Amino acid sequence: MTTQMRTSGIDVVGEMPWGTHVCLFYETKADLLATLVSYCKAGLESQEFCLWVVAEPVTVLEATHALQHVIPDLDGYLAERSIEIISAADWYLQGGAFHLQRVINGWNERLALALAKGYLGVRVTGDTAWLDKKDWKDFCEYEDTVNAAVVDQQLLVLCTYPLADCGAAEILDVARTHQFVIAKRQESWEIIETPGLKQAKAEMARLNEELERRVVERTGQLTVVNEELRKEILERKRAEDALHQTREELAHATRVTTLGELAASIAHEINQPLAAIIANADACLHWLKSDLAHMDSVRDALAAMAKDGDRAAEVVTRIRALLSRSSVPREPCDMAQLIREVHPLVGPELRRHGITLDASVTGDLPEVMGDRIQLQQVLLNLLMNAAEAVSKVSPERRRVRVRSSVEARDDGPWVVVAVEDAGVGFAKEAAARLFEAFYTTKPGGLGMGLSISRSIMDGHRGHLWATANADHGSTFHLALPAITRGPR
Amino acid sequence: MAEQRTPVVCVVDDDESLRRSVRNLLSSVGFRVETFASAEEFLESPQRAHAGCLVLDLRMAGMNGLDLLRHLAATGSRIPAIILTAHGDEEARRQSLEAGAVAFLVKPFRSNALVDAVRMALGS
Repeated sequence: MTTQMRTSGIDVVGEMPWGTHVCLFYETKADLLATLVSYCKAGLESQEFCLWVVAEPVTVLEATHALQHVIPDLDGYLAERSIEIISAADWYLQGGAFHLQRVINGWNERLALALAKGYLGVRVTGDTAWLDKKDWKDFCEYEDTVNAAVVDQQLLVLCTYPLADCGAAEILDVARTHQFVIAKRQESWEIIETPGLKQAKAEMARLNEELERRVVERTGQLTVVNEELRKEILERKRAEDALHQTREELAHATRVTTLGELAASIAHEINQPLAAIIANADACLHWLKSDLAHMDSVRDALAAMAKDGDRAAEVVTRIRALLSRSSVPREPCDMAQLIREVHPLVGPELRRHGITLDASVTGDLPEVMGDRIQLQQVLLNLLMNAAEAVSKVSPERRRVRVRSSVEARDDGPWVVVAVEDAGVGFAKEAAARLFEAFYTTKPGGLGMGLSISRSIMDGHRGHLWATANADHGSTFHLALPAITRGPR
Repeated sequence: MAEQRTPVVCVVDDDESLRRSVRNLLSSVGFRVETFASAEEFLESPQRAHAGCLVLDLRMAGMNGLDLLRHLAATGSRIPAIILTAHGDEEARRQSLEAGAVAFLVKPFRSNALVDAVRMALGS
């Protein structure tokens, strides 16, 4: 607050901070009036309380008239007591003599009152033409006290001295007891700074430099901290990516392991009867080559072969049943709802690759009969495939669309869901093999997803097929008979 | 009398269908064959004394094929063994050959391969 700059109203001074104590040496009454009128006007216009203590040769009336000349609404200011114009005799010499403490108290009371009334501060000017040589010493002490007291206060003090009445000794005393001196001599202004002010200014400059140095130093430190933070964020991102990759590898390994175990188990179950069939067949051939004595053995072996054939066929049937889970009870399913439920599962993966999912799913689709988990598995598989296909193309093509529709077919309405991507697509020659087990175009892919998905759709008496898009990518369609006409 | 001296091919497999088909195959080319449903059954059988070679399944309930091979080696029995398995991984092959097997065949095997392996085993 105290460092806030105020408009002095005196051209040569310009702005000055609160707490300024300055003295003015004047030669003529006209100079004095012109300067103080301007000084007070600036104060009134800046929401300051002004106190003008006048002395010979200026009277209260003259000062008032001079102010009225430049401030048309002076009467208003006077009425609300924003400005007081008071004679030096009434201010400094109350009771006939100068009393240092009384005068100081007077300033302080005015300041407290002004602040309480909402003024920003107090602007004072006092003339010293009344000063007798006998009071000089006391007055110097007073100025000294004022000089020390104004610091850190919302107070501006301009003391005016008639140059003609001051000898060299007085001028020196005055200069010493003020922060700076202004003088108007032969129409031109002079400004003389005291060593104290110079020192203060130098100190301020030094403090500013120090502040700037600290700002630079602190900025440097912040830059280092920022850089460290950036590195840390980068490091964390790397760690997260690594974790994600590890998770994916783990998931992949788990799938491979599970399928590997499944494949080993299937292989054993099928190879066992297959080995028996081959051995029996060759035994029969040997027997038939030699003579007819072994016809009974041949008959038995052939019966065993048929039995082993059935055994192998049963294994295949069991695997089919496992994949289509035909024994799972079906329930009416809302495909729109299933699509919405799959969103959160694929969301993180899509976001990670910056892929937009546009699901234009009709809310009033007829229900289909199915195993909701299996149908979601198919949707999930199609969405993940689409995401993988677009993750390799330019960002503007990273878009996956899910559309739903109802198709009227010969045997009634069907619900059709299409998963469309603008990704890498598939070659014409690959189209026929897309749904084959172990057929894959993806590095590290197992080629099981679409094969299992089609098994599931077959198990639901539905269809799953793929079409190549005209421009980019492919669309996978799944169709299921709507429930309205009952399951076929 | 000649039949008595003919060495017996002992087939040890817990899968009946395979046991019977291997017996059919080997007997159709003239070998004498005895079948056993487990390693324990073979060890307890008096036929063991006439065993010219073993056709042995690797994975069986109870004592498995490898255990039987190791047991025979430990008790000083030198019956050449042919391993038949549906789990044809490298580790199983290595372990079998280390335990003294003369051949390692993966199901489904070619009939000729088994017949040749048996001939070789009996010849040795």
